[in-house]
Amino acid sequence: MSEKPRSYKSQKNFSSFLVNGVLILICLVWIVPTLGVLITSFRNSEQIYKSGWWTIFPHKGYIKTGEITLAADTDPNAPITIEGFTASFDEWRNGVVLPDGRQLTWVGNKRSRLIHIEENRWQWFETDLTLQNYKDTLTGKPITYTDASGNTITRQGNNLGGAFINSIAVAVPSTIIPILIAAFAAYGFAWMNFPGRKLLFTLVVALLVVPLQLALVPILRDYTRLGLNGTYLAMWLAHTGFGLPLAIYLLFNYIGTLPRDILESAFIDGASHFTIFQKLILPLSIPALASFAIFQFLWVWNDYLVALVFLGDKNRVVTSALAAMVGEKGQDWHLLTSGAFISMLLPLAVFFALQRFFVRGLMAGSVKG
Amino acid sequence: MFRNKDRYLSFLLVLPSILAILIFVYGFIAWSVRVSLSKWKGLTPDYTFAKLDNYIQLFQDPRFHLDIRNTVIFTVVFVFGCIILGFFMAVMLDQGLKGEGFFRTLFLFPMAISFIVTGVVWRWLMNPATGDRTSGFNLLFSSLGLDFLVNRWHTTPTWGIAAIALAAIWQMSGYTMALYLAGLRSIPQELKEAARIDGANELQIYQHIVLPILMPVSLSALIILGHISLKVFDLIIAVAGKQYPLDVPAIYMWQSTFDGLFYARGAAIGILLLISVAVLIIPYMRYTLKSEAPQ
Repeated sequence: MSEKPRSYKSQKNFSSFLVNGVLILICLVWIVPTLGVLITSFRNSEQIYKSGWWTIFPHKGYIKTGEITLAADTDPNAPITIEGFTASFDEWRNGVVLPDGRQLTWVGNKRSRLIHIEENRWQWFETDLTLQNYKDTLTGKPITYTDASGNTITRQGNNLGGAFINSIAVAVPSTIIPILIAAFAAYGFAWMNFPGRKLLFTLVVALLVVPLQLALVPILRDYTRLGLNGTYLAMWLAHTGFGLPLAIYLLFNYIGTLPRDILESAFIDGASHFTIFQKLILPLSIPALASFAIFQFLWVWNDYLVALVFLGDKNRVVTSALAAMVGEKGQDWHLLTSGAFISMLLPLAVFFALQRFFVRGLMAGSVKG
Repeated sequence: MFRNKDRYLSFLLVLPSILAILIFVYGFIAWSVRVSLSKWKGLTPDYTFAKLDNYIQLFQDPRFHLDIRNTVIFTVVFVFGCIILGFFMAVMLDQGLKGEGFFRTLFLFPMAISFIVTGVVWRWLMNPATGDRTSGFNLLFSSLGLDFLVNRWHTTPTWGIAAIALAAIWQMSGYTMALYLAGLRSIPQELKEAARIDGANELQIYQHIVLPILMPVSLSALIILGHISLKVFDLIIAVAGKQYPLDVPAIYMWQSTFDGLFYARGAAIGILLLISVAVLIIPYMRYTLKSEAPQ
């Protein structure tokens, strides 16, 4: 490196500075949606419409320093004079800045006759945060909140707490069952010779590409006949079916690369297939098993379509509960944002804890369903 | 090394998977093909053979034309957005920076989230409401004084679907970056050094060495992202609900089948989806199977 001309080095420094700058910029763009959602989910319902979520950070802005209640006989439909300044109701409503820098704003509807006095000052972090949105989102009981126009609204909660438990009840067995079946199958495919092995394997792997929409109606009909609709069992079976091709493909690729000598010497020592599978194959395949388990767990957790068809409105899982919430409370951002955050909590935890396996599973499972 | 009775055992091991897959998937494809060629409308099955009528009607249906148009716009914006952004992210991360792991994690994490959650997040960001109900980007832009950037997002006539593709780009370009990063890491340093000694500048090195070597990666990215955009459903439902201007084949299929009970039409859309996905994926699968399968 020392032989290189100086200009090359400084050019290199400059470009790495530039690259860092651009990366940090992209990072900001990437993080803003999630950060905004997180912060909004802790703000109370009226605040959300009054100011952007970034106002919780220190900034210069108008802050309430007092209020005026107008006389009960003030006519809101005629020009109104306050503190020597005359303006119409709509102008007051939008806020009027007085010559001394104070801003007066009419709060609420025409009958409220309430004026807030605000001054433009530096503000520290907003401390007016609440956990109420999360309580309201998690419960299935009726909830009450104030909307953008100051009206009090009572609605049925969307029971995301119950949905969270349902999601776990669906996702955990839907991850374990295909692993068990597929590990045997992958062992069979990778280590044994039987006629038609290659053809069968191709048939299995080709299934990765079938859009699962195709299978929904026929499975639904069979489930209706068997009385399985709306049950967890229905979900486990469906996800096992949809997850198997990927599981076999992933495990086969991995088991097939294990050193053959180990298995052959085990055979010569008299170990049975079952012993080899249990004592050698399973422990050695843990990275592949983990990759598939994470991929499948997240896939089932994040699935909406299958849950919508087979569970319907009974036993809603987080995705369908959140989608139902969008339908019912599409503009109640304090609830939607906390709902979104509850739904991403577990996937994000899995992702940050097991990133290495996650990326491997991701690369293999990219064409699934 | 294997005895004859192993054959039965190995067959037994594979059998449950084969059965599950035969019933679950191949059986249902056959069933869907049959339904798509029938006259089935309403609750009771009607397998009367209708030739290709359902397909012909679809290709004359203005709603299906809209679906194809929306899918094309979505695919172009989404796929190229992801590839261009993912490639540049990967090139920047490949410079050997200090915080590489941090940046990589940050770009990848949206992959772990469901399309429904991404949809809700972006529904809030791209809220087209005005006045007191403004939120997300529009509120940010107007408080920064960038009013010319305020727009109607997914409610923009004709091009609304492109706004939804933005949300999908946010979710998937980290994945594209991971693909490219793996590709970049496999290029021998000597190759670039040699070109540098021969007097090539960085731009020329990327143009004449890196990009051609990464061609297979670009192809994989194109196929994987393309097949995601063909089947897009959850994201649109979460951002905008089932709205006619933002209709896509998967939503049309859903409404035909579950809301309208036009089973034959729903199955026909499903088969068309399957064919378009298969055209994309099968050559790709053949290629990766050949290069990855153990000998």
